[in-house]
Amino acid sequence: MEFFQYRNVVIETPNSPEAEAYRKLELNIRLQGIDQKIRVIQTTSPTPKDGKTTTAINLAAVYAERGLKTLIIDFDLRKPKIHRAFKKANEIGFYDYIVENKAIEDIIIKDESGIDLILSGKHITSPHIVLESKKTQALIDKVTSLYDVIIVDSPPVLSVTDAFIISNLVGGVIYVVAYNQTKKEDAKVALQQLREADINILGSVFANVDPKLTGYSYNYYYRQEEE
Amino acid sequence: MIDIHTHLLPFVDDGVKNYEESVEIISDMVSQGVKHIFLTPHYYRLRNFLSSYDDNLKIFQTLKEKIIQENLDISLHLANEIKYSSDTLKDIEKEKVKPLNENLYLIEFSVNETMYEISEAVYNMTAKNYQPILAHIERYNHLNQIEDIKGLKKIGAFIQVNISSLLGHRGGRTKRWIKRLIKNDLIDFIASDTHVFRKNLMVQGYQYVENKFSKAVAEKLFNNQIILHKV
Repeated sequence: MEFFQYRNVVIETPNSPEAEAYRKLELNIRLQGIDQKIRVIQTTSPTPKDGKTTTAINLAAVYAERGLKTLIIDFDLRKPKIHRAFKKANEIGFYDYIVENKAIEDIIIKDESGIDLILSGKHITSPHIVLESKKTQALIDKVTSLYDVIIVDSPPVLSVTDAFIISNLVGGVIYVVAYNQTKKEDAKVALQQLREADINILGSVFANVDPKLTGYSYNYYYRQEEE
Repeated sequence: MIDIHTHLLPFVDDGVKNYEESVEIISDMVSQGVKHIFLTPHYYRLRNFLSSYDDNLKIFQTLKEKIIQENLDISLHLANEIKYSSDTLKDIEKEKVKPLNENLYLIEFSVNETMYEISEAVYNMTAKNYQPILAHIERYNHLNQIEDIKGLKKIGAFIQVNISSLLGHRGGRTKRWIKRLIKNDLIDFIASDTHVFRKNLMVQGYQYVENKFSKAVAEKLFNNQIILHKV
């Protein structure tokens, strides 16, 4: 994972079946929120390396493609990855807003893809405390007024409690599991925990599916509420 | 031979204590056939090694004069060994620290640094178009898998190992680890990291590699020209 090269297929290979699968994902989210638009979306998963960050960056690209003003926030403050996915140095970010009291506008990074980013910045000790603060809520409120859609990357459910704290700030959660990789038991336990916390799970994403095995031409297959 | 990692600048870190010591070591290196020496004083906040480039430069000029007086035929270069921290990118931008060449920066970590932090340093530096040379990687307790070294190189890091470690000063296990890395062509530089006088260290290292591997390998590791030319 330390050297994983994140691919934004929606940007790099927009006509591929993989990119199409992300567009389907966005459509399904839209259908979920027909009456009440879901504008702040969190990606999480049971364990590391399941595909949260890849899902986050590709979903964001779909929104940007549709002309929506899109922001990604890296709230995995323990092992931030969004800057790696966008080939940026993790220099300025959430840390500067929380600790150095920088204005939100000053920590937003504009990427060539048209997607804006709030990176984690310097390491924050006790991220779960910071994430629960009024200041964090204020950040979400402010960016909600500035952007059409906000994608929030978060740590895995089974690693730390951060994912639950973040879910209080968002409109819905996408649960990502990696096909043939995420342990079934982990996937079940984590999902159970999310349900018990009464979190609005929009649905789950099956990442890492080999089209040759399934016979489908899509690499990523969206499904409602995994059993 | 080229020595890309030395602590031969007196008064600024835990290296040589005075000009005489420095000249003695440099003189010994010249007799071994070293043509280029990079003086890389620590830039390390926690150890209070924070000498500015301007201060370093003054000492460096004086040292160069003494070298000329001794008629020593050697090219000296002034750079830094940077302890990587969240301030490093800013330090580089503000030119508080110097590269060995163009964008090649020598960086080090604590021995217990995690793989995540080491990889993070490489990602952040390459994102700014800096090229990190990771100093004496054989010292890092969490950097002991071949796959990790391969991964670091893949994302843009250069790898440096100390001669004394190769010659067994950190024990047999470290020696075998380094040999395995050489065999897998994963090392870019072998350097002295010299702080005190050790006679013939460079040539001992060179001959060891030449005997165990080949002259071509020894040349690649002790005479890596990328440090002198535009990469």
